[in-house]
Amino acid sequence: MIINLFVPGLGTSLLGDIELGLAYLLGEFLLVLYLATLGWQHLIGRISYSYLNLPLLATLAIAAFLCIYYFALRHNVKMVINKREGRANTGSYVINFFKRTAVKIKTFFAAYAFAYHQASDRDKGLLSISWFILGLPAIIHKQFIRGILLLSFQVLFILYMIARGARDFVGLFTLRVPGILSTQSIVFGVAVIILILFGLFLVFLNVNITLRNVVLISGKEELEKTKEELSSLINKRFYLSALFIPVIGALLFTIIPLVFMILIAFTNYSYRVVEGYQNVVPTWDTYLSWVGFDTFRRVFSVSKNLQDLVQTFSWTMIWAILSTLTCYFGGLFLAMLLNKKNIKGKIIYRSLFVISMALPQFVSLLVMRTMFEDFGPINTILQQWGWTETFISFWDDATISKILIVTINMWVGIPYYMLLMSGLLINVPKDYYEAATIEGASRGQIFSKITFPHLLYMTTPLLITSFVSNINNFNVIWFLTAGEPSSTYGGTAGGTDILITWLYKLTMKAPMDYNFGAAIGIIMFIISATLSLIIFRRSRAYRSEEEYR
Amino acid sequence: MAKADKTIKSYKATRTFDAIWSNLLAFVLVALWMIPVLWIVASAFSTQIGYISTTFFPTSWTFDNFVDLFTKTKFPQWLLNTAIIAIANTVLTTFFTTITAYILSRFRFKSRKLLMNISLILGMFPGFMAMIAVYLILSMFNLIGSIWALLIYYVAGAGLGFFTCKGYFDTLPKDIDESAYLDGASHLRIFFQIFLPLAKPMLIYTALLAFMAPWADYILASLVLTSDASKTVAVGLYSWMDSTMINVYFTKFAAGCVVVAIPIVTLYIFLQKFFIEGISAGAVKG
Repeated sequence: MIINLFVPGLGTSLLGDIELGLAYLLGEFLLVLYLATLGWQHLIGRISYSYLNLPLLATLAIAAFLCIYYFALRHNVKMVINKREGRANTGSYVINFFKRTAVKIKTFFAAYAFAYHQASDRDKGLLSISWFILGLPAIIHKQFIRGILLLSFQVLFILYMIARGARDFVGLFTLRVPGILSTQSIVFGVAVIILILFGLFLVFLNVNITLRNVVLISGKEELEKTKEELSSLINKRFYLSALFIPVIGALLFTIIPLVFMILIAFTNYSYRVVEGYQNVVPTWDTYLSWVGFDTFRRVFSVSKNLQDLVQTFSWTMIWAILSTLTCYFGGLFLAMLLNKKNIKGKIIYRSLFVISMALPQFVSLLVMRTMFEDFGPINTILQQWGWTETFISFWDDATISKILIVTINMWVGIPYYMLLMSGLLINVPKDYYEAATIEGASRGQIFSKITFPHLLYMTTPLLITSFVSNINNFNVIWFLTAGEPSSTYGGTAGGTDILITWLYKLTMKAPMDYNFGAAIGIIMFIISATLSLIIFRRSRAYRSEEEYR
Repeated sequence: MAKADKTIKSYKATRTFDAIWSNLLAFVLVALWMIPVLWIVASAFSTQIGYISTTFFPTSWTFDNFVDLFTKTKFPQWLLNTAIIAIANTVLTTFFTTITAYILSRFRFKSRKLLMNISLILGMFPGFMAMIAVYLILSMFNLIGSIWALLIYYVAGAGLGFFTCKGYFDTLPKDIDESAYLDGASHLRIFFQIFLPLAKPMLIYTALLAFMAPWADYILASLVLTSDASKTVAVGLYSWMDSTMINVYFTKFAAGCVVVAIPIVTLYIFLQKFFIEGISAGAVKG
């Protein structure tokens, strides 16, 4: 109970919900870290920037901390009450997963022992062999398709391991294979490890298939014949054939690259020379090496980098919240306006708004940027109307840029939400409106008591996904300002950079600071994964997948 | 009576007032939304070459920008590249996305939940965090500088984008495809002949997004398409907005934008209905 009061996240973990507890703990830890190092100085004004309201930022951090504290505490109280009244808590998914797996393994071996005991001598032999030679038992059981597939996998696997797999595997650890760049070593190494894992899975599958056949034989039942095997690939096991290409594609172009990038964060791969760090670029005779958490130390211990991180992180959050809310409510307002009976030419209006949504983003955003340039049309008009003497450099000031970014994003985003909301408004049950009108409810009451709660209930998942996708909204920032104006304290992040554009700059623009970028990417993943996980676990869609049928 | 009359009158007055006010507001908003569009269209017909102008609308009009665009620049090549990728991507990505969603919605197999959770986690990584590795892998296949590299990358990721689709498919009644299966139709046939026609709004929505992706994607395209001839319109037109080029190419950029926008906007306007159905389904179940 005392732990709960001081570190509620830890309490949640101890009560059994480990991941959620860790998420709370991480949030608490980061905020306390910030407040202890920079935050208190921001709050009392010992550090100040011209374009970022630091006391506000620190206050927000305190508020966020209190929020997390409150939620964690509430969660814990609920869990304790549940426990006392004998109700089950959701518990940790990780632990439950391992528990379930352990049970599965236990039952598997029990079944194996039982089948082995009952099997004929030939089948006993086959069961033992099935651990070492893939496919052979299936071939002897006259199931040629899977037998030959499994066997050929094993042959190819062994040949590959002899030819280069073993070297690639070692190369992942040493990163020094003559004639292969260190970066390629990592890619090959990751591929080999995935292949080995797949092989282990196939061994297990092979034993399982043999076991099933042996059980069928001792029960005097018919085995699946080759012909049936073939037809099951387009019938019962259609999913195997259909998912083959998508899974391979995801493996090759999503999973291997991601693992590669995560690994890069722990190497010294960077074009940037930093004092105290042995960063190198791999060539035919320079090799990378593993440096552990050095890069993360660089993120947190170099003050400019930390300042970059704090600044971009807080702007990312503010941006994600503002852009989501403005577009959501703007779209709702517009949809309700265009839904009114007394509006003439609805279809034309709606189509005109669709234009702005349909325009490729690089077109509309680049046009917007040009309009607000020093000699662009907005400045021209302002001067002609005599509102300003000379042009205003909108994009040179971080605060004005940020306001413009949010406003222009409304131009881009509102039509999308407008279409969405008008789709949803039709679905609000009509009887509610009729009943409310008969009861004499005002329009404001109808909106706040019927329409809005209904829409909010329907769109909570959307709000969450769009919040997360706005954290990763590259286009708007990049095409409007490219993160400019540049840093006032010599950091690498510009005044309007959000995490993702900063990441892009770090890795795609000179100096290509790959390991640093990868470390930032991992930090970003932890943030957005934590957010999504917490919210996702509370969402209806996850709890009751079957409910929608 | 007089009192009731008065209420009706004031009610009518409020209604007229409300109608005028709403129409006016809608008009102002539309005008606000149209300003950038009008400006870019006007610039496309301008006789100037840069974006700097003393007036909002050009003083003299010409068609030369379009003529130059198609005769003196690489733009036709870029347009062709993008169109090829877009069409191929529409077919392939739509197929793989819908079939993945179909499988995950209709089949129950052991690793199903695991697959779905893995895709969810993969979706949380910032997409181009892995771009350097993708670049390395593509260069191992010798695909750098080729538009096929983009196509392969898009199609490879198609399976992971099933969430919206699956949410929609879950709402479709199961009995129809189940009874077709019992009648002896194969899954592939059920998928193409029964299921996809049922899911038409989602199919069109997915296809539209797949068609749009190559026109809008900048990050990977700018990384992979290194030669001038292999660029897509997004990369090519962005290169004209560089501070060294903008003063010469701005009106051509505008003309290019108009050319690109016309087919896409037309598609959107005609397919609006399906689009609304698609996004509202995705939003609610996603």
